[in-house]
Amino acid sequence: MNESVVNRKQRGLLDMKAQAMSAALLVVASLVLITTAGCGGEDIRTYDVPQIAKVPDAAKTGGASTGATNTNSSTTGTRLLAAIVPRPQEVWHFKMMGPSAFVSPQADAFIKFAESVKFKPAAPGSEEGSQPSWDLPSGWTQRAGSGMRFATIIVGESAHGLELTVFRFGPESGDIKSNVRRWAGQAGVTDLSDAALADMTRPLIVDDQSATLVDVTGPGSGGDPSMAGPVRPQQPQPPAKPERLAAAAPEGFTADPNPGQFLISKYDITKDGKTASLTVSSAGGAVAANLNRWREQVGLETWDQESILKALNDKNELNEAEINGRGFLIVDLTGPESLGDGREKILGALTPDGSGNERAWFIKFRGPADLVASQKPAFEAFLKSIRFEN
Amino acid sequence: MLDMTRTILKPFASLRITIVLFVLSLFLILAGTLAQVDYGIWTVMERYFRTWVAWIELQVFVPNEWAMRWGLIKENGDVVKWPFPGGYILGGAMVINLLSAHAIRFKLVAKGRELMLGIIGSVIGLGLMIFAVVASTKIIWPLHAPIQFGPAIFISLGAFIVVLLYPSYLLYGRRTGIVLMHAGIVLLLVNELVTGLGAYEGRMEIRQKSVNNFTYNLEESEIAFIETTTTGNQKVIAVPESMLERSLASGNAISDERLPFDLKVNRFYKNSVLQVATPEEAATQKDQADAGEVRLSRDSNGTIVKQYVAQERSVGAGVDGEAGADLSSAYVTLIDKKSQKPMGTFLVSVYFTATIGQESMDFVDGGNTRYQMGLRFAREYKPYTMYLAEFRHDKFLGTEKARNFSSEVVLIDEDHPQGREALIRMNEPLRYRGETFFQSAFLPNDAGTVLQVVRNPGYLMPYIACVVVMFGMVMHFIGHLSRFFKKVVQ
Repeated sequence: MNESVVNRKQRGLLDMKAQAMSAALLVVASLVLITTAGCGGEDIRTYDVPQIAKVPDAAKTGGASTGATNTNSSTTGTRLLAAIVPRPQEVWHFKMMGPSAFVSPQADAFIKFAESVKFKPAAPGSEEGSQPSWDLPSGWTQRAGSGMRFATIIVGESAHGLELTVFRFGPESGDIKSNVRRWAGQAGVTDLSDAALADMTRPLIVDDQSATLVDVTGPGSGGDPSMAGPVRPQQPQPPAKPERLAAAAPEGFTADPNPGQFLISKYDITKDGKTASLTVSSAGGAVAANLNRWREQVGLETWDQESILKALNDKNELNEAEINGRGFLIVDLTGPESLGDGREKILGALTPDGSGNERAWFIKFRGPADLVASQKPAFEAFLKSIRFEN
Repeated sequence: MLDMTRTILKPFASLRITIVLFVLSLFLILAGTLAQVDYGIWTVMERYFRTWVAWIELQVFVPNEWAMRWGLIKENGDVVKWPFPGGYILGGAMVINLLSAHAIRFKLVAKGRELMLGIIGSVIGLGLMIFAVVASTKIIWPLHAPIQFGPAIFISLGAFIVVLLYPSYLLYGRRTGIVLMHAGIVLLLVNELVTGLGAYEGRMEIRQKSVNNFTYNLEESEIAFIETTTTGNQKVIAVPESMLERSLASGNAISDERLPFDLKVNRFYKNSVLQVATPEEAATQKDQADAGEVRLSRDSNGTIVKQYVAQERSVGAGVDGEAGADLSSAYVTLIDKKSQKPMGTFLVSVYFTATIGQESMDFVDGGNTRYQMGLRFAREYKPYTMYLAEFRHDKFLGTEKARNFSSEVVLIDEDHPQGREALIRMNEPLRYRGETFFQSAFLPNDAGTVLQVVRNPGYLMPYIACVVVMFGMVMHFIGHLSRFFKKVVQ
């Protein structure tokens, strides 16, 4: 009896030890995992940036082996093909740059394309400049350009990002050599001696005139860490919280419950059968262009940069004012007297949007000249009542 | 001694505690789920589950209108909150409860040699499993790279089935099934803790036919001092965001022997917008820079005529998507270590480094060394180079709708100087060196790929836990079944 109690106790003790051990084992295991998981990043780190490994040539052609591209060449690096076509008063650049593997198969097509370009001379007196036309090789698609970029032509599948760009530059766009040097630099060519640069060009006839074909092949940015490109989040600028405008309705005006698609609010006043409207809107675009739209609406000639400065100096039609600590541009435009009864007046105020986006607030009071003039105090009171909320 | 342990453990092992913990957990999950109406999933994870105390917002339980009428949402936007045990408390309590219960209620059936065999076998089996889990993300001697997913799961499950199962049967006999089930559940709980503390998520961008060897973290920024040596190598000293915030809160400059300067943080904005301002406009700001020529323009007298200013913006909520990436900015004053004289106040911002790159950084001289200084998304450099052979963005014919994104990459490291090809596609990530690469996005105009790089030190654990629980259940049911048949036969 006594013995068995002792035995049981002993066994229980052994049990307990083993139990505790297995529990402890689990706890230790979790602790090991937690500590190895690490809670780093809280202290200063110092390190050497590891070298970018050299990409083996065999790897570089990896993309081609999927059959995704129609390249049959093992060339690596970056290749640039360009035609520089001088014209009276302007210089045209046709440029195609990308990985050699993509550009090389298109080289013949590019030259054929460049040779097919024809220029229609500029119409006399027009500021447009000459208009080129060309035969587009099959599979290439053309997109409109903007600014100096006259057109963008997508070469083959757009997924490869291979584009042919057409630029129109003024005669100041630099000589051929400096352009070739710049392009060669972009392609990663290190030997930029005159002799080397000369090897990259050859003559070309475009529209019966002499032009230059540039053909540069370089290592490209592939193996160069400094060219790996900065980190660029998709949309670095988070959309700013839009600013809101609140104001007291001017006395004697009626608020329009449906101000319209582009307006934030609209107030109308009617006297002697004539109606004038005060509107609040928010829009982008250059201030000058917006001012000129208003000038055209009342029948005034548009302003250029100089006349805007002059008007600001005259403090007559254009004034700067500070209302409740915020800068406004105050506009007072009256149509020419020759318009008689149809003569209109615009009282306007604009101020940049405070939320940092590239928009501005437009407060505009437009209507028959005499009515608007008589309600000027109401307009000014309205401006003073404006509060911006973020 | 034994009785004392028992007395101490007994209250912890109470089944009532288990039930209460389950109820509390259910309520926490309900609140956390409802809170996702207002916040993103990661914000909720941080505030409700990966925390000791969860402040439950009472307004989540009622429609907004009622919440306002009842004063749960105040006019200034504040909400009424109530403290509640967070995920760490509940999870931790469950683990303690479960382990205590096992220590008290479950008896070892083995004796003598069997007991020794059982314990030794368990230790070896558990050891092997822990080794596989740790080595799947860390470099453990004598290996010089983490084990790949396949071998790691093979080792850990192999260790469980071949080495551990029989010894645990020796130890626990017919109760083995229950013990295994509980062990698997404890493993899941531990895994959640490990994930919460140790998981890393970064992005890697690679341009078409180009290379990269670092990831960056959109959630974290750092001030980097970069020294470029004559051989073109770069040495980096990086001060993490959390240190900047601590220094700002305490008002003490950051002084550290690894830093070439003392660093005083005047302002730190987690999210900000940058504007160009005239001196008059800049004077109205909370702070302004007087050094950092990259972002100042001066007239011929050296007076500043235009400069960038940073304004604070509220932090983007949870999963607003990529547009919600916070752009941190800071005003910092560098102080010369010896003379303790200020060397100028700089405006540093992630905005500049993210859009322009290293060229946007300021040059500062410390001792005999010239550094570039800037605030950037926290980077992590890798011991390998990834080359993007091709990024494909297939669309459904005739539409702009994406059908498939894929990145064909080549990994180059010490072991594979010739490169190792891999294809990363949507839902087909690449696992490499303990990290998982997902196809996440692409650069504008398909100019390159954006990979999401996830490292979770416990990523193997759920797989193992599920298998352990499954074996536990099978053993438990088979045990019952065989006993039932025995009875029937008798």
